[in-house]
Amino acid sequence: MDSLTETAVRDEIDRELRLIDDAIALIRAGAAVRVTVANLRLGSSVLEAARARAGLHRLRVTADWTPGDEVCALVVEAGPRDG
Amino acid sequence: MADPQPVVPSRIPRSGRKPGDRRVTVDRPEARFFRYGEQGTIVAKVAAIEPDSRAGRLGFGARRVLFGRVLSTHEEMEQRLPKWKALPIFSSDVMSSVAYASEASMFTLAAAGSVAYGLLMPISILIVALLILVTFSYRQTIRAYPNGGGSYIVARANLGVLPGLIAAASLLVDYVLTVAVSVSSGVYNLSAAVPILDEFKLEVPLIVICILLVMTVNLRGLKESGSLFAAPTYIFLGSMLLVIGIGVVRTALGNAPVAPPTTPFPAALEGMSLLLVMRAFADGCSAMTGTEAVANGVPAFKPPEWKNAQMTMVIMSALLGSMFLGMSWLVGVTGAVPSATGDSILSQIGAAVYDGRTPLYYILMFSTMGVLILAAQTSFADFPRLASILAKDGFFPRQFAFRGERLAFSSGIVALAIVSIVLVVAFGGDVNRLIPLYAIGVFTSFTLSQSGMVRHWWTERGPGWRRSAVINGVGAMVTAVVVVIFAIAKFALGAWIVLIIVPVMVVGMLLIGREYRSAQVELHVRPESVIGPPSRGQRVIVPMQDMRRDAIQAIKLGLTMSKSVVAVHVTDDLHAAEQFRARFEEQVRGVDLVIVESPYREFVRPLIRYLEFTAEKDPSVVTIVLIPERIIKHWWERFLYNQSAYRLRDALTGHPGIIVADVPFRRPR
Repeated sequence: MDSLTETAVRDEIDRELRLIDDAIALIRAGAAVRVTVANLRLGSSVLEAARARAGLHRLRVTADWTPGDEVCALVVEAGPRDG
Repeated sequence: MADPQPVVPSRIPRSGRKPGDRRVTVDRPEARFFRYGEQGTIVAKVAAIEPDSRAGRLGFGARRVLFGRVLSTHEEMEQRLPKWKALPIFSSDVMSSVAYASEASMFTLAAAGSVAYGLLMPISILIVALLILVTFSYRQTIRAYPNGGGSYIVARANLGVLPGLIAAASLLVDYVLTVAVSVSSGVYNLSAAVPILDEFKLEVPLIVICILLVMTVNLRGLKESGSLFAAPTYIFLGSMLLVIGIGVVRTALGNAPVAPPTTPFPAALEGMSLLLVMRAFADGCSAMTGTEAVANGVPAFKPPEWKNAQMTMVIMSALLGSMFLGMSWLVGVTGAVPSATGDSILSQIGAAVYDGRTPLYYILMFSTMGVLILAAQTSFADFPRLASILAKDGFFPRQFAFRGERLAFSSGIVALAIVSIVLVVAFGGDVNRLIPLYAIGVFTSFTLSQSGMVRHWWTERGPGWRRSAVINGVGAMVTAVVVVIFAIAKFALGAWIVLIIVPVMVVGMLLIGREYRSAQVELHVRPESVIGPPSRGQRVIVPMQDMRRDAIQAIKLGLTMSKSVVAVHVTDDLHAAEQFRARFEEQVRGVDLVIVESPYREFVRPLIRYLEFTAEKDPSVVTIVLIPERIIKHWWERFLYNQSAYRLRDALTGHPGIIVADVPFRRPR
């Protein structure tokens, strides 16, 4: 991450949010019940935005992340929004 | 198999014998699959087209035995026909019709009683006059269209696409009928001489075998078929001219030949009428089917093509006219009549002239059978050529335009054989019912072609254009009258079928044309467009069910194509998915992983849905789906591998915004 410039970080966040959007759309369409988006380099940074987007569709997003890990996974699934 | 040797020449600088001498050795290694051509090109050798697999090599070897060595495009000129070979190829159809055309007219005239046979000679003279007119018209066409002046080309160029396609469809129908009818007639003639064929009902299988034989010889190339089929046609020609010559001499010497007594054919009686004469005329006109063959096949002649084609056309018509008139005259002299016992008019004339069934009689009869079967040869020469022209113009599937290993239009040859065989089998070999349809198509194409030529002369207005236009104009009018006669005289006997088949074919060809044209518009690259530098902005998705080398290979490829590579894993087992994820995060860096949980055990559909969502959400970004696919070496492996890959590819191919690419994985040795 250290090597990423500001623009690159913004692009990466956009890209990871797009993956979350795809996961939300997939669950809303009934094609899957849970979608895990893994290997996200900026997962912790996009978590709140992802939760907000999922909440609009009554879906929840949980982070599967251990401090110290280089990457993190976000799990999108049906259910009330996480506090 | 990769060519182990380099094919690009290398320049190696060397020092000379004396100080200061320098020279360059151009190393042009001879490769197994390629050789050097002109202007720095590399030319593929025969070895380059040989298949790699054992089964493929066996098939290739079998084809060599059956059809001969593969011919290079450069050998095309050597495959061209001299006049003596072109004559039997392009005239076997018209020549063979001499054997039955007079008889066909007589069968019709028989309805008005034997006195009506007196009309045979006037009808024959009328037909020969028509033949002369058509010959002169086509001579002009050959000169005006030296690259092949078939009815389709002339009608399309001068009258428009629709008349051109009507002419083409009419001719294609005629070619198929010619093969079915002529081979069947030959085999049934043979069956009369060899009763065992009829006894064991072997006629239909024999007809099929004969068609396949003619097809095989044609697949060997036009030149070889010419060499093989020349002898029977020339023997028939010689026999016919001999029987007519001896008949003329005997009559001149006061010893006119007399046909042996026979039981006349019991025709259903009807009064002499104009319709009856018209029907007899139409039957006799069947002798002219195939007259246009030379004009269609001009490019098959040795140079100067048009001159050789014109000469062949004149020789063919002269021989046809002489034999036709000679036969009709001998009918009157010998008193031969349509027989109830199956003894043909030709057989009666032969027996009369040779005073019984002598060896010369048998040569005449057997060569007639041979030439009847070989009449199919003209269709095999012209149908594929016409189909190739139609394919080049986009009205026929494109494969018909390509020449096969022997420079023959293989697709057209095989298609003609298949359709003819289907026809023969469907009619149980009884193709006499097809004869009424025979000539109407040909005369329709004559009329359209000649009308096109009138327009051609009118537009060109070169020296002597008026005379040429008059010749073609008269040809068009007369052949149009014959079409009308056919339509009236033969309508109830089956000619109406042509009125259905030809329009159906024309509509089919127009639809094919529309399809190809729209594909051309879609594929058109605008001249002003410039292809930019490589872009890595596309999205790459790799379906991945397990941590396997084929999927990793696809991911590696994806990383060379885009900054955004996503692996998609669909699972119904969360525990296994967690393990997979842990391994993925450990081993694959910079690639996102999307795990889609599918509790209904359906893997492909959720994946397709996911890909559709990603593609639809941002249509400006191309989604490339890389599908790992195992290379199949044996047929049975198809049932074991790649099933999901096939399903996925079928579902996604053609989806807007999605490009599907297979990433083949070769099994490690």
